[in-house]
Amino acid sequence: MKKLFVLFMVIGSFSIRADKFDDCSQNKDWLDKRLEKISETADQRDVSALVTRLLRVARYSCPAGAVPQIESAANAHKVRGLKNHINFMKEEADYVADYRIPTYEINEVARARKELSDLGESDIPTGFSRAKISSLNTKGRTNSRRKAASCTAVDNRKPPLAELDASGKVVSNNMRNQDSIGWCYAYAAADLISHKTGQSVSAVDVANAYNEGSWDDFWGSDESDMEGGFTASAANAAIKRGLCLESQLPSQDYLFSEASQNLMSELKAIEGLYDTYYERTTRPGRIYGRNRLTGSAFDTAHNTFKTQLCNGTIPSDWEEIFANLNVNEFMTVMRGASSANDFIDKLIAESCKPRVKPTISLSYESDDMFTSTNSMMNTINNKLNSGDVLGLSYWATVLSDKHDTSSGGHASLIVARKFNATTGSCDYMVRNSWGSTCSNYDDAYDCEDGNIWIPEEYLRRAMKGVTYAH
Amino acid sequence: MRTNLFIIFLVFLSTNILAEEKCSEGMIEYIYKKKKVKKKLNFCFDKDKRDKYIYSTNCKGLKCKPLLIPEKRPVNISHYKSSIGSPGFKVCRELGGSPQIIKYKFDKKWNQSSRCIFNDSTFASNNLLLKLWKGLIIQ
Repeated sequence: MKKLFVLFMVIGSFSIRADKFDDCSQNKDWLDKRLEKISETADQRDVSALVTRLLRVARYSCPAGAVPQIESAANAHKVRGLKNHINFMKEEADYVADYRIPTYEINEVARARKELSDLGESDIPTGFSRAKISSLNTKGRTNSRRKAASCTAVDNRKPPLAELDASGKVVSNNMRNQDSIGWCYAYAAADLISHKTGQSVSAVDVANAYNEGSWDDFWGSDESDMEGGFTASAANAAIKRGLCLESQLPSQDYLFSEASQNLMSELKAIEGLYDTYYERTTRPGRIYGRNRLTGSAFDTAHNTFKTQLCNGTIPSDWEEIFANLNVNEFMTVMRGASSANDFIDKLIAESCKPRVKPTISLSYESDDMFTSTNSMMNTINNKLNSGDVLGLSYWATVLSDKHDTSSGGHASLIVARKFNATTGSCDYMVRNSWGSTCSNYDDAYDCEDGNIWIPEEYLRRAMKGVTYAH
Repeated sequence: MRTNLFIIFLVFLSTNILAEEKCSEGMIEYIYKKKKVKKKLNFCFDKDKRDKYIYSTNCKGLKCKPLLIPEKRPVNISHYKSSIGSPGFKVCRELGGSPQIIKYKFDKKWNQSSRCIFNDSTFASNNLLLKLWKGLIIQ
């Protein structure tokens, strides 16, 4: 009987998701996905804010008659979330007291209990006893004081990552923006090298250096399909073949585009140009494949393509990325390329001439899944104390929600440290590559032009690895 | 009566409408085909504890069409191939705009930012979109 009941509830919960929004004329998919997220999150935490927004969207998107049913389903999750929130915050308070006084967590338990009481709920999980609060406060205060002694202020930002005044204080940050291509590791590696050399290194070139010789490259993947990577490997690959600067191969200039393009679609468009050129300058082989045209046939096809590229008959924004090249150089590279991938590689090579050899001996290594978190934190602190910055690989969901380390493998830099006297935490500045906004980050974090101060207790949980110079 | 006025004042402060809006001439700079473009432009500026925002003068009071009633147009950016990338740029595209990295100057200081261009006369900084659409973005 119990099994039947459970099965009924499971089916019931799916049908709540499936048919609640069937009559909604707009935003049905969004409402479905949002309710699913609410249901998942409520297994652990308060979802009141998510529910409020969902209901506002529902009131605009759904007929008036459907809203009460939606409200009822959403509010059921709200109640469940509040109850689970109490237990979650009690666990969090125990964890956080190892670092600071768990004021926020203690207050959240009280807030959630009051909300449930105001909603008329009777079965409310117990809160903290006075003795427990006192014990947590004492433990947190002791640990925070200990931390304050060791968490000395360090800020290793300098040009080209940031501009400094005469006293060495940061007056502005030069933030990178990777847009929506998954080359965070390359932007982080470019920043690491830039910090050492004092020159702004091209992130696009670092990604290309990393991709060259990779398995994806070997199997003929297009440049634009090769996403994801490792910061240390990327930095070392770029150093090995000589550096390319942002002034030679910009990683961000292309972002002005009336066609709403991003770097990935720009690269795909250039790869597509090569495919068109290939079709026009070859003919089917007798048995299989295609063979290049010869003599005047090839010259005619090549020159016609070039003319059409110049007069816009063949539309292209290739100069957005490869502004260092003129059309003759572009066509010369195209003529000598053996594939779309090879074409991009050769364009980058041409744009980056002459490559810059670092004047200092430079190589990077990383600590990751086989290294303990304590050991990585020691590395972070030692490197910061010696004036250096580090690459950080971590779960990016922690950026918008300090409790969420569920997904989003990402890479950024750690550039500074400070003791936060307001919260009692040791905070680490994470330099991200999502531009200079602070609006996307958890309100609990201090933020400066897209640099986020993440408290140690949350950084430890989100951290997967660190990259640093030998 | 005084209590009512006080409550109205508190509600006003707590709404999304930013409280320090100023609109006048400033400077915008961006790079196009490796060339720096710098021009004078009339636009609006506002700020809160967290961030600074700019938008075109026809969006004064946040009353232009692209910024009105975000609840009518929630966005889903989870379909982008890479989940890790600037959310502001993705949201801008989902709302039908073109994102652009810029520097702007209002008063004395140059600031780095990015804006979402909806048409020739209408734009808003991407961080403003993230603020207005908070809770309405599926990532």
